[in-house]
Amino acid sequence: MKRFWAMVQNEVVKIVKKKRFYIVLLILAVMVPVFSYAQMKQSLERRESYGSDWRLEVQQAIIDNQNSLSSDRVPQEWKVYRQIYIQQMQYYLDNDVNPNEPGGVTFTREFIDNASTLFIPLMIMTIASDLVSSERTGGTIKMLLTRPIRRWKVLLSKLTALLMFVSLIVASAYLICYAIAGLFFGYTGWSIPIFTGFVLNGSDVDLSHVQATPQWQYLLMQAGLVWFVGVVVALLAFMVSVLVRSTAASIVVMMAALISGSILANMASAWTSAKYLFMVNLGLTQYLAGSPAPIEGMTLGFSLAVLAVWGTVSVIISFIVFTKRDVLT
Amino acid sequence: MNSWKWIWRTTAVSSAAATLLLAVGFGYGAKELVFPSANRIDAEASAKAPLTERTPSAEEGNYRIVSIGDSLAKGTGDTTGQGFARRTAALLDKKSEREVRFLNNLGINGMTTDELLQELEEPGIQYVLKEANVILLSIGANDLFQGGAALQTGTNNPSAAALAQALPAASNRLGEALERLREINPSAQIVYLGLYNPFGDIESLRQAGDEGIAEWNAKAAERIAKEQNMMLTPTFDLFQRNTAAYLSFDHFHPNSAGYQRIAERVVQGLE
Repeated sequence: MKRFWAMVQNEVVKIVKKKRFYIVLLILAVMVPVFSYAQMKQSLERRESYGSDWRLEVQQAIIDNQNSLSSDRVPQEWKVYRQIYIQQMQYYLDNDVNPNEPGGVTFTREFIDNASTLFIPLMIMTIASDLVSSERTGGTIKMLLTRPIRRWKVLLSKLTALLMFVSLIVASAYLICYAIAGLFFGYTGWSIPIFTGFVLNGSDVDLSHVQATPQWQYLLMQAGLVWFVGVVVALLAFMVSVLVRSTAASIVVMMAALISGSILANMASAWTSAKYLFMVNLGLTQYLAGSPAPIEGMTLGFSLAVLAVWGTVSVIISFIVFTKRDVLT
Repeated sequence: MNSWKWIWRTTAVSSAAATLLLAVGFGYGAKELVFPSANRIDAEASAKAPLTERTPSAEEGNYRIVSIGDSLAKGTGDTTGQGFARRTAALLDKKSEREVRFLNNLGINGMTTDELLQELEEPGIQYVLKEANVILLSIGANDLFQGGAALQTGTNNPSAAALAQALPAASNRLGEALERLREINPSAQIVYLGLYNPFGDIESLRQAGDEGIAEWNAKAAERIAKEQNMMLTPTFDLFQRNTAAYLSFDHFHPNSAGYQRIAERVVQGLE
């Protein structure tokens, strides 16, 4: 056991020395101010047209969506989205709670919501994709395997190191986002109530389970869900990295899968069996916010199950392939 | 060698802490979503929401304009999207010394008097109305003409009989709506936009339409005359002679020029 942790230690140091993790942090530190600035511009512009009164703004959003419902040019599934949106906004308004109270915490919540399906998985891939393939490209894999250690243990140590970094990436995304957004919007907003528990029945919203969750609790749940997605993406990228010889190819494969997921989620509502693909199930935080799933029949339980199955299968494949394959180079 | 140890220790400790926290968050989130706990919020919260109990804004010295009602209030047919409401605000801003703020455009396409009465019970709508001191209202045309759809489909042309049948009940509901508006905001200036006949240039429809609308407008004027701070701005004559020049392509809503003419009238009334 002690030797196993020594191997994990070795892998962790390798990842750190390769500076991939610093790149991830750097990307976050560059991107978050850009988004924060854009968001600040947007809220200033809003303030110009609605004054400082968010209620007027929310009411106008409700009316605008109601108007678009009567238009024949709006596709049916968009109408369902908007009907749900209207009912949720109405609920916020009826309870006199601002759904978009500006602040560093709110910004973090919204940023992670948007980043959870593409941006954060991308960061995780940066580390996961070359974990095994780089050893092959560099030829160091032979050194690794000539030691008197079982192959599965070698792979497991790499996987453990990877999962450690998944947690670190998700946590540092939150920390960096909050630290930087706070400069723009202030470091407040931990206790703002966010409504969760909107149960969707078609285009109707069941309000009987709705409750006001303080924003810090919401962030905690959101982070947990993002983390789960991150772990599954890491497992998949890890498998690809085992299967594919070159790092570049392994990154491209995962990128293609992720991007196709975000495209499919936008247009696949007619092709219902697409819901078994892992890429369309990455938006777990949507369930928390109560926005409708991209494809009918998807629930949180369903998405978790699909992701868990994909994750487990990819771990099994990784281990079988890695232990059985001849290493020639 | 030492720096390696250091890297390992910090990574391991922070990662373990982060993993623990995230796993707890995941478990909590999944539990809340799969087995949502029952509503702890008062179900009647919206009925006694702070929004509905507010007193109207007492701010003086500026115009705070809200428009509510049907597609005319919204501005359908205006290619610039402003409608008479925003044009009114723009004109007022030009002419008057006072600050002019256009708060909200609450117009919804196809709204009837029935729907307006329901809308007026929404806390958010009431809040907006209480913030305003000028309320522009346009309603009724959809009760009488069914949104002009009758004309476009060719079936069921608005006949004198149908108009006469729809009119009394709809006119009563207009009275109720005005009363409700007055209750919600006792001090605001309420401007009701009189109806015009969009079918004035269609010989077979003109007579029936003109008579029905004249009756509607007369009833509305009678109702409004009883109230303080309420006025009816007539639009009938604006679209009587040169219908094509001031109506948009759908032959029902005004176009930009038509809305501009309405706005000029409203401003004259408000000054």
